[in-house]
Amino acid sequence: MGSFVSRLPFRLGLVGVTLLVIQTTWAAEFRVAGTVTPVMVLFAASCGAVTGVERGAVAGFVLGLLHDLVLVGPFGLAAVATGLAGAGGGLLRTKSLMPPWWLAAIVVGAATALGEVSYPILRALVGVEVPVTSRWIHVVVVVAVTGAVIAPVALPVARWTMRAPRPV
Amino acid sequence: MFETVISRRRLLIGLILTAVLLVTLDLRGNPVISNLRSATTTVIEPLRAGADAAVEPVRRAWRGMWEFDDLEAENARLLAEIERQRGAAIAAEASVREAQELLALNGMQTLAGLESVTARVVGLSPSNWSQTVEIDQGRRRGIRVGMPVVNAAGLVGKVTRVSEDRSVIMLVSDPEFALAVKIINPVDSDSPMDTPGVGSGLTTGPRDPLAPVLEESVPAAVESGVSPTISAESGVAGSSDSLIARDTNETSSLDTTVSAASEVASSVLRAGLLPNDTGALEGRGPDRDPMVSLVEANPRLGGIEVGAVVMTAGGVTSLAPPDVVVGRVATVTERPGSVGPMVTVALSADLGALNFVRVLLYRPGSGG
Repeated sequence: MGSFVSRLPFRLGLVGVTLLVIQTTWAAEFRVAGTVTPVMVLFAASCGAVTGVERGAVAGFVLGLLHDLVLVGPFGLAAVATGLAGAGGGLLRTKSLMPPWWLAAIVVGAATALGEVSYPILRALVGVEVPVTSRWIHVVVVVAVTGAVIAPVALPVARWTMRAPRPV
Repeated sequence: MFETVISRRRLLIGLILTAVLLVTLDLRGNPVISNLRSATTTVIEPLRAGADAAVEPVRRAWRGMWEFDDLEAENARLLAEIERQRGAAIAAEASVREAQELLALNGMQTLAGLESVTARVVGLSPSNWSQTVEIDQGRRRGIRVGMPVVNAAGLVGKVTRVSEDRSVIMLVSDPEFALAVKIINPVDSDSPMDTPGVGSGLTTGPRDPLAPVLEESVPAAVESGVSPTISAESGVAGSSDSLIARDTNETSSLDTTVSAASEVASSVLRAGLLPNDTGALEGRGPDRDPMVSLVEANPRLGGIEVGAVVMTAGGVTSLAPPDVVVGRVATVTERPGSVGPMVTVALSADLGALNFVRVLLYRPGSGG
């Protein structure tokens, strides 16, 4: 527990700021099928996948707060959405302690899509509506696939950040 | 297991309550959060610049491999476009100067010192759900939250966040964007504006080519007291109290190419600057044209027509000065009841290809 408090915040902060820079530069510019890859959300889902629901939610919440700092919109909504992604990724751990890599990738992709699509829904709850169009489906599908593809890279980084044990 | 469930519930409730608190504080305009956001932009800027520099060779190589042919074709198309517009530019410049001389002769104000700051777009939206861009000018150059942003074609958006050397622009297409606009039908329609005594009495001469129309319409408008001016570069067209935007560091904008804005502006001159309707322009995301809602119709001037010009309405509470070109009416869908028609607007500015923009240093009620 002491180690969690003393070292994890530093690692999470370091990785979070790095991802924030990537999110606002490369991810914003190099879009996949016209869609921004939500690297913060993806990483939160990965953190959940390697540590579980609770830690995934907390890590996602912190990463989301960082993301909120550069977003235009009510402060705190991205934190909830990213926290949801972290918790969603963590569901994997409740089902299997040693999931195969492909299952982890699929879960991370799905959790990333969950976190991404929950953001406009949360915005609508506070009165900032995003019109529902077919673009939502496009974004969800692209983000899920991108998340699953990048997950094999994100999971080891998440494991290091969250000090999670390596799978054997 | 039970303890785990309780713990998990407590944790999730705690996180949600924290988020609700933060959202509430932000929506109530807590300065700590806005200062934190501004500070974050300043702090991570060097890191972002480094990241951009690191990826620049890859970006150039990538574009060189995949986009060279497209760029070559686009270059040829743009050269042809410049040739086509050169004549119109000269005519428009002459008309503007003529209008200014006439306004000066009549002792009317021609330039109210509405200054602007030119900025380069340096960043795109980091989210799929908001349409924003980041520019490389900020508070240091006098930019403040709420100021309108235009490019050569017309309205682009408004400043929504400012740090010392950076600003975030909310594009017109963002669902949170809203601005008062007016809609002006063309005069060669069946609108009653064609009849003498209604509107400004502008020429109903040929619409094309552009030059003769402008030459006739500007003096006519001046005689009627409407006093139009055009800024080819800023996308601003308007009456004597809405003026040519001038960059604080650059020379006259009239030496540049006339853009789509001048074409739209000429329609306004033809139309006589008398709005048919007013309403609120609202963004609807990147894949749909913005919409004008709460339209207050002026039946005396006829219904809204496809192709009608949409411009900012101005006013003491509006964030934008009057008569900034927004675009043209793309569709008009009648709706039952008293809600009025649904009007969509094809924007003059291409929001997907922004490079340089101008921030109009305009504050409501100040006149600039």
